[in-house]
Amino acid sequence: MEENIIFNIDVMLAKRKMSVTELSQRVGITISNISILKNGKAKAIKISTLAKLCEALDCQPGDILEYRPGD
Amino acid sequence: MSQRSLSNRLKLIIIGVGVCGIFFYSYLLPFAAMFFESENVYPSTWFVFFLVSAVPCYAVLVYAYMIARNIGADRSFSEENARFLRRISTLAAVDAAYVFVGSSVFFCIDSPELLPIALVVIIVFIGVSVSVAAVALSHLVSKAARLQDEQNLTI
Repeated sequence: MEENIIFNIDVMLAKRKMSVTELSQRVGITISNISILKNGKAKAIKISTLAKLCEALDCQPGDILEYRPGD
Repeated sequence: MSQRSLSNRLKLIIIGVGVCGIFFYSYLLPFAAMFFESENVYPSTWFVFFLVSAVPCYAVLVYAYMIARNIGADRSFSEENARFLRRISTLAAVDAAYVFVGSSVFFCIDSPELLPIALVVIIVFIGVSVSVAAVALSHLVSKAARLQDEQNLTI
């Protein structure tokens, strides 16, 4: 997703009092893939994965996606 | 066929080709050099000439072995393999050019029979074909490596 799109999953996990392990099980992706999302290493995300994340965290895409202009 | 078994088979074939090469260069080539005998060029000169051309051939086998090892380690589509294929292409081209230029010099010194010319043409043709195939494969493997990298980082 390049460095300009940030995944703020930690914030929503804290709000929902959910662990990374539980999130990975609900969404159906591995913990390492969730780490890739959090670290900004991901190159792309499927719409279905984004939908599952929003469903698991009961939020909107804008709640977990943030755009930061490049330097 | 699993990747590991394919890798092992490739390694066996490469080692077999290497052994056959040793047999060819140490036993058959001295006899073949007699075909190139002429008044002005000694058979031993041809023998040494073709022996030197074996160096790039064995370098190609080493790189092929490393590619086979990467296949076994599930790194078929990698920039490393693409780099090895580019080197194989360069080595094959260099070898073909070496045989072509060297043979041309020898043929200018003394007019050869038809058979030596035909053998040289075949060797050069094979070398150029391997070079072209290897550079095309290198490009494809490099593209595939980039696609796989993107695929791996698509969540």
